[in-house]
Amino acid sequence: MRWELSPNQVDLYTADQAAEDPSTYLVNCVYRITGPADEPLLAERFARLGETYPVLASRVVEDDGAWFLEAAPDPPQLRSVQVADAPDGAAARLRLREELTRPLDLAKGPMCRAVLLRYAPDTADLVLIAHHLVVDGRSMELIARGVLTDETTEPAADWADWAAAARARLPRRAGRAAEIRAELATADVVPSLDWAGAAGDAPGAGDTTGGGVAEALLPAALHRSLRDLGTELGVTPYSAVLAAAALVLGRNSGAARPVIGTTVSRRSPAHATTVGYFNNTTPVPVLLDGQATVADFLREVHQRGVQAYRDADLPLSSVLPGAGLTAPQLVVSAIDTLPALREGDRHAVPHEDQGLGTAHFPLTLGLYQEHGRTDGIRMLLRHQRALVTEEAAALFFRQLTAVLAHFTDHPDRRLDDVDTLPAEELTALLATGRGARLTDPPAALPELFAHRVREAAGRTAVVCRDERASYGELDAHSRQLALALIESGVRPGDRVGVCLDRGVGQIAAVLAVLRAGAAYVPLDPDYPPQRLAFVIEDTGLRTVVTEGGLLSDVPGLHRVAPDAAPEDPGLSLPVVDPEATAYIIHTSGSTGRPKGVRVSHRNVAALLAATREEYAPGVRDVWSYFHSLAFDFSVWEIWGCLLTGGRLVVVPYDVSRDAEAFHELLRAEGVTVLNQTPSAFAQLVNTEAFRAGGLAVRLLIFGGEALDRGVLLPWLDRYPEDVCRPVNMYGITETTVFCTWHPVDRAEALRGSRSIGRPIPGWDLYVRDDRGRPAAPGVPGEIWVGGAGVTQGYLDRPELNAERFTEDHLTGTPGARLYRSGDLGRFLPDGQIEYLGRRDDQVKIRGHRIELGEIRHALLEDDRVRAAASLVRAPDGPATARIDAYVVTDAPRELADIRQRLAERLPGYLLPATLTAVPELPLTANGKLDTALLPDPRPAQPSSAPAPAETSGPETAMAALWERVLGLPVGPDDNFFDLGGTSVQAVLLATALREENYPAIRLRDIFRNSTPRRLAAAVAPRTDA
Amino acid sequence: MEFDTDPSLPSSENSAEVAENLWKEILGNSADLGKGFLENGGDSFRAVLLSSRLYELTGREVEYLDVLEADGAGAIARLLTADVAGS
Repeated sequence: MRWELSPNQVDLYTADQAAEDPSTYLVNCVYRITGPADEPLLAERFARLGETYPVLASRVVEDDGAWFLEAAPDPPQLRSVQVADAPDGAAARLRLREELTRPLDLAKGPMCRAVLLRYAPDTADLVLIAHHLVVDGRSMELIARGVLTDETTEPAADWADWAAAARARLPRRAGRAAEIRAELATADVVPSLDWAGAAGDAPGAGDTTGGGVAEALLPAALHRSLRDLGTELGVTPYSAVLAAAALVLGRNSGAARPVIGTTVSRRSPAHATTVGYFNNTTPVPVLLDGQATVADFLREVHQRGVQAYRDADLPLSSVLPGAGLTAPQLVVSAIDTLPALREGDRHAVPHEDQGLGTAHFPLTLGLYQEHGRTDGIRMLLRHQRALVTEEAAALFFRQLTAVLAHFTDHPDRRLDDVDTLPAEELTALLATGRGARLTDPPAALPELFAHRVREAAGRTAVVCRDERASYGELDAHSRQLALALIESGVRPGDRVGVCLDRGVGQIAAVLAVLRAGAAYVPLDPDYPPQRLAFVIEDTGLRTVVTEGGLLSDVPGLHRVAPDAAPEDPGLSLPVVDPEATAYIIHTSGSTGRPKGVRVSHRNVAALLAATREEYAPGVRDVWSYFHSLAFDFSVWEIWGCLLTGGRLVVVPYDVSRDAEAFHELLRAEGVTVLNQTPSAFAQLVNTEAFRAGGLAVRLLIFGGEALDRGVLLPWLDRYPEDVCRPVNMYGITETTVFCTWHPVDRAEALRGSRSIGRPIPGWDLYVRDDRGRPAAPGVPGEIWVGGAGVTQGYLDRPELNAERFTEDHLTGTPGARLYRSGDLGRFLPDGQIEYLGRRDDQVKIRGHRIELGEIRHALLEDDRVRAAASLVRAPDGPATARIDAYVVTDAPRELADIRQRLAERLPGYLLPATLTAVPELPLTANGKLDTALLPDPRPAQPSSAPAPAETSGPETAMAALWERVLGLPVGPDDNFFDLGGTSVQAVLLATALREENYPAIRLRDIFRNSTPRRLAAAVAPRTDA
Repeated sequence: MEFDTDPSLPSSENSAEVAENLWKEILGNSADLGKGFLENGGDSFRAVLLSSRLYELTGREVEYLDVLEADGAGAIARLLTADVAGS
């Protein structure tokens, strides 16, 4: 006698085979027995259960691609163990845990076991374990009753009949399954769980941490109002919780149509006393229409839930994409509660949930079914730790409660008005993103410079090659030029271009423009002429300080030489208003023409005030001036130095392009404050000279790009943190160079992190969702910046200004404004902010969101890779999008192996299509990676036709095996799922591989390495060992 | 699903009585017979309970969802007397 598995059992069996932990799908209940246990009686009853409910005494056998249950050779047995510890003592608990987690061998059977743990003559625990494949919650109650009471309930209908009927129904339901698949194709089946993960998690890292569990209680008042609302709207409290869970998940994931699962019991009344697995997890697509009222939303979700129930005869694998390997991220299910059982003097009371460190889904929200209970709804939150941290699970529950409270309080409001955080947390969140306050009064830069001149006019201010100028000389020089500019017609509020090579004269010119009350417009002579022409026109420049042949072909421009002298040196300079514009720097942005950003004296003065205490820049500091005047990193370099009395070492353009020469300059001049983009810094630490050391840098500031893991390690080896502080600073031109700072220590340099730290004093940062509301901690949103750094906005772009610079309604400070950055970020639990890339840069390849930084990180983990970059190219439209990766390596011949190792660390969708070795990464004039200059890629793999050399490789043998199981031709780079492989075939393949020479293979290996080549690479080392 | 049908199918008066009794048993004595199951404060759990009790008393299987969506005790009675052949 044998029974073929029902469709829902097949899904569960596949999930069990794919699970990391073989005890994942064990179901248990534990009864604390007081009074005489009567062990022989319990043992006899337990043995008899195998006859009453034959599935309990079965095992799984495979026959011709299908699975069956058949009677196991050994019947179920109750063992009895004397435990030498008090009940609930440490040893007793350990023992109990052992019993609960010991796997059941499905191929051997039986499907259940029982242990009586005896602590004292009148105290024991009865542990009942069964595999989920043959039980559900109700079954466990039947089993417990069968052992602990004399109620003998012969089942009214057999499990086998139900299974056969369920299987037989399936072909007739193929049409409906196709409809559901089509509907789900337009929904967010796998909403991102980025919000729930730990900070800086590399993909696939640390995935074996099991499951966590947390108890929670929806308070009685909320329970009551939910019931009332449900009665009014005709929806069940369960549906309301489902709706709230979908809203929280959707908001946290940025999914407008999240799909969540609900566990449905298809047990019919006739099977009320049958032991078997009647459950199915079924997908509920939920449309989050922000304009709908809460009441309509609840009714809609309720109807969706009802429909999902009606469709729950269709196994999940038949309606979800991905050949049954996709599972909902969040599942809501009802939890059956077990009764206390009494027989004569024996009292048996069920233990609370045991939380065994396994979880079936990333997040499962269980609602206890407790008839008549009115003092709240007990809930259980299970989560897979690899995807959902303890903090995220707790947050999810707080969000759920807040949303349910909002639902019941304001059923007539729009869904968009529902906040997914409790009000007090929203307030706290706003406070988290606010830096310390600044108390300095607004100041203009010439005034601050004058202080330094008064202090020590004789001290050196600027050095460039052999030229140097003291503070006094710089003061005199800039005063002369400022007067000359005024004589030539420049007035406060005007704009004056500065087109000079880096040098003492250029610094004096910039200072002169400011002293004349005008704003300087940088025109970098090394920039392309079209770009300069654009900036000149965009800013309406009439006057430019320049020399030689620069800009000689631009008509209508009044050219003033940097050494111009005024006719009347006795004129006085204007008093400069701190609110005046100090400079206009153009940002490219990713779309449209460059925009000029107007930054005031007050903004720059605030930046200096913000950093004064932490960095304590002073007269003994030597700063390098490395960056183009047109890149606002230079604003920090120039004014950070000259307004604090330091010595500014100009890095001439040719030196800035030659890392060896730059290192020599840093050493010779004794530079103490070094500002670098990570790309340029990577070249610096790769120099020969770096190995010899000799630098005096005490403060190393990164800006302009994300800081990769590992880049800093060689530096820290030579210059530990107590000698030189490395700080990563995130900033935006529109908010005055920097917004946040983040000291990077060795641990973090090793680990890698996308944290940009906290706002600098005076600056405020907010992470807001698409509705403009603060996003919950961990939830990605757009970074908005407020406070002292918010600049005057774009030059002559009223529409863009209205969109990007808005009134600060979050703090309500009169006159204050917010800047909407277009950058994505999220708050970490400790209040730091993690940078998640540009909003516009979010690329999707075949439905997967690609984070190029993750690929770069993974490449840099390889010791042979010194620098790496990746980008998405779509030569013929989005359908042809692919990832190209570039590496700087001393071992270009090992490229194939580098790629192989990358394949072990990255999921398939993140694996670059090409990997190309380059001698160095090209940089833009600003020192950032210049993707336009990267060469065309070389295909990393010979194209799909197998090369002759490969016919004997492990991937060929692997492909041959696949052919046998799948029954079609398979190449080494064919994807299992693209070949139409199902989860059932994956299980069969795993079995076949185990019988061949891959004894250690697990089902998940196939899921993660879904081509023969990758699978062979992933498992070969283990067989060799 | 096919199961043996109870030879003594409930008559319509009989059904109404069973339905009304169960309605009050599950939803409370003050439950309104003319109002919907959900409007009477019923939920999924009570719907399952009601359909189990129906089966115990009459041998007839009623989907718990149909109980959940019942607009009154009369709807339950109609479900009991409905021709189930072919369902």
